[in-house]
Amino acid sequence: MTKTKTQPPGRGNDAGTGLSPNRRANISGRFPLPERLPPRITLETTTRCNYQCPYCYCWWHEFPESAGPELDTAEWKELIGLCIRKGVKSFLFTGGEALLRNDIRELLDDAARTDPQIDVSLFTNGLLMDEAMFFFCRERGVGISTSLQGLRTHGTMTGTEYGYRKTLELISLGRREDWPLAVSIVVTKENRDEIRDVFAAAALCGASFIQLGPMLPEGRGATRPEWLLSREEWESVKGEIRAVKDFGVPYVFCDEMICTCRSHAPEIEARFPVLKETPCEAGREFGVIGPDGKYRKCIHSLPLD
Amino acid sequence: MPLSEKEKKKIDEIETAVREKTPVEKLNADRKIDLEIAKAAGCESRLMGDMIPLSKRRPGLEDALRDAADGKSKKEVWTTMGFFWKRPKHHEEDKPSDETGLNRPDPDSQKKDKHDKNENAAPRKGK
Repeated sequence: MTKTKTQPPGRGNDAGTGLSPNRRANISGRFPLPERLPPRITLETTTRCNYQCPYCYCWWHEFPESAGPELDTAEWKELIGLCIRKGVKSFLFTGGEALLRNDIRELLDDAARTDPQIDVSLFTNGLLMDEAMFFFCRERGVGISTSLQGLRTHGTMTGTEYGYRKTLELISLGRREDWPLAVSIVVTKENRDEIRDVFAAAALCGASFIQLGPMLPEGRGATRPEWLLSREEWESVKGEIRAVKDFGVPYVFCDEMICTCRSHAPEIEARFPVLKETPCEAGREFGVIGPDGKYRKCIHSLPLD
Repeated sequence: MPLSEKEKKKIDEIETAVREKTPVEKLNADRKIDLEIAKAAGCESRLMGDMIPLSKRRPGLEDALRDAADGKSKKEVWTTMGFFWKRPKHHEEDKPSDETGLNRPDPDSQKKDKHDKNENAAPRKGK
């Protein structure tokens, strides 16, 4: 079967999706996408998660009534195909926890095989990532990113009793297998005192890239204002990270204390004034499709914004 | 996970440090610190990803480093989060060209395939 960018296999007929033409037309109508999509799309494939992070930014914790039913396998495949036809070049599968979907391999495989030029990535907390899944991703060119939210504080940071060793093993495996593994670290008042250790652990195990950012007052985080860092505390954290022994690992700080892609309560806006108005790439460089198939311009924007 | 004894030992050491409340960063890194990239970028390696406002993120780290090496940016090397990962290559000819695993494509391969250009620009992700 010939693969082309504009007409991936199974996209021009019913093959591969199991959907009738009427059903496909119905999907396009049910999930209206902008005429032109950004090149990078995050797919929030599920609201379910096996972590219960108290700072999780996902909007459905704040507005559960706005979350429609999750798309099924055929619907996601059709939507992915529609995105590709609209020019999307990169997909990031996430959730919730994307690996909780029984069909996640099928979806990743579908996206990765549809067009060799499409970049496919998976963000996972790593709890369900086993050796087979790792090599499944590697063989299909699916990039993997994960999060390391604490060591001593891992339990409270994830709202579970799971340990952090599994995450370190995943990072180590990525390094050993030459498969770059990016690591995200969210900083809150809970893990703030051990943040140097968290950063060092990720670096020592072989993270290829580390992102650190302060917890945002969104999602579950909106109910935990006591965990929010002040701007001064965040600057202090950055100073500590810069002082950590150089492991040769590139890292990035996300400086936003709130995201301007969504509305906030007045007290939050007063507490975290936007330092300067800068054009945001949301909606131009990247966009998001939620678990129910609805498009948003940013992972932080709300369905109703 | 199918880790070697050395890899397991490294994680054991981290766990011990956490348990005993000693600094994890004091553990020995067996990773080669690749300063070549930093030198090429005209800055210290730890500055590579520093201070990147969301709105200023632009196509990927590799491109930023090349730009920096070309003198377009010395102090501020903009990069992007790696969560929209440019598909890493694991074929022999496309192995990452440095210890950071950043998979910098060589100029020749870039000429051959315009899609080797990293065009990442991503929102923050982490929960």
